[in-house]
Amino acid sequence: MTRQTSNPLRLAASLLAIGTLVPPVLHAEPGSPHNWRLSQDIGMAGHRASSDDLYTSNQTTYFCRNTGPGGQRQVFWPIDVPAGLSLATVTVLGTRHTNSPAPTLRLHRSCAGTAPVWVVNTLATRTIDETGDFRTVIDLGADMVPGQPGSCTQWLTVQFGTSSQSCGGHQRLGVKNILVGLRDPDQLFFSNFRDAYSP
Amino acid sequence: MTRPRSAAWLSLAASLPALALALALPASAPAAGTATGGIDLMGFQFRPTLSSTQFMAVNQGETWCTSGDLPWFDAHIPLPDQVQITSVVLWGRVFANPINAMLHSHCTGGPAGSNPVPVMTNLLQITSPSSGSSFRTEQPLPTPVMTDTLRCTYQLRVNLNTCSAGQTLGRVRINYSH
Repeated sequence: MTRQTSNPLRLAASLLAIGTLVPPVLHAEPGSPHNWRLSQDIGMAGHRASSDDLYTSNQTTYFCRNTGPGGQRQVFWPIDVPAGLSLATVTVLGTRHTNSPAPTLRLHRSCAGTAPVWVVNTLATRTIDETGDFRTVIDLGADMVPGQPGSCTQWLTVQFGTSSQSCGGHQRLGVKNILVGLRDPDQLFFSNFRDAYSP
Repeated sequence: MTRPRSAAWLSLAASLPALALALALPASAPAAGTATGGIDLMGFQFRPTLSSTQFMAVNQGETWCTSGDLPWFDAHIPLPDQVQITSVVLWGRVFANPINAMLHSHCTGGPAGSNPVPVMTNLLQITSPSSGSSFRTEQPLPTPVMTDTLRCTYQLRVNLNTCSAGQTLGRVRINYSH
């Protein structure tokens, strides 16, 4: 008689109730290699902040050419984050001569506030202390931001010192490439569950 | 009596993955033909139409003209193929004059076409308020335009009208449906 009480419908109802108590997992597991979408931009794709920002290019590299005071020394790279993906990392490859000022990297996000106002937040800031060729990774980690086209935009700003400083001479301070790492938060397909079944 | 109950258990077990999926996945995307999208551009992505026009941008992403005879700025709009452009939205700040923008298409006969000169078509004109500082203005296209990236490229030209730090282009969105 007790077996009569284990009704499959009751079990389904219990599972549903349990399901509502489990918090949703927002992001894929960090170790999974399958949920990355990578894109690149060349240094010369950057947008200078001012017409007083002088530059020269060599292959892909945007070099600051302000060899004396002047200019804002800022360059912007827009970062496209489609809906359904999250911005996880931004890697900047560049070069800095020993006589050049330390460049500062800032990752910005602008989202719609109460119309027509937009709210700009700085997601991360890095200063390049080393000289020579450098590679810096801005890893947002658990703070990666979801793509919200139409509401939010993202961009990277590189500040080549201050307007009173020299960039250090011809082709001595520049950005070669920008690598953008996006992640797909799809838990079912891109999590470590898939890793176990992939070569 | 036990056989029907076993069948019910098997049926339930078979339906659990689907049940889990239904609980875990967000609502499905709109059906084809009703989805919407858009291209967002910040002010700093626009370039002056004359190299002598002096400009500046700040961390908020907006740009403005600091000096020059022609405070016009251009940007390429990287629209996808075969979508219907529905509206253009401008954000910025005005000091004393409105800001004007024009959405243009430039179309040729395609890679094998006989016409080497792109034909420009003014698809939309949009004008901001003339005062009130920060603004958001949206203008629908009189007739939605289907993009054809094999033959055409798309451009937005913005006339700031005045070179002033109070007259800025903040951002632009081109809305489309597909």
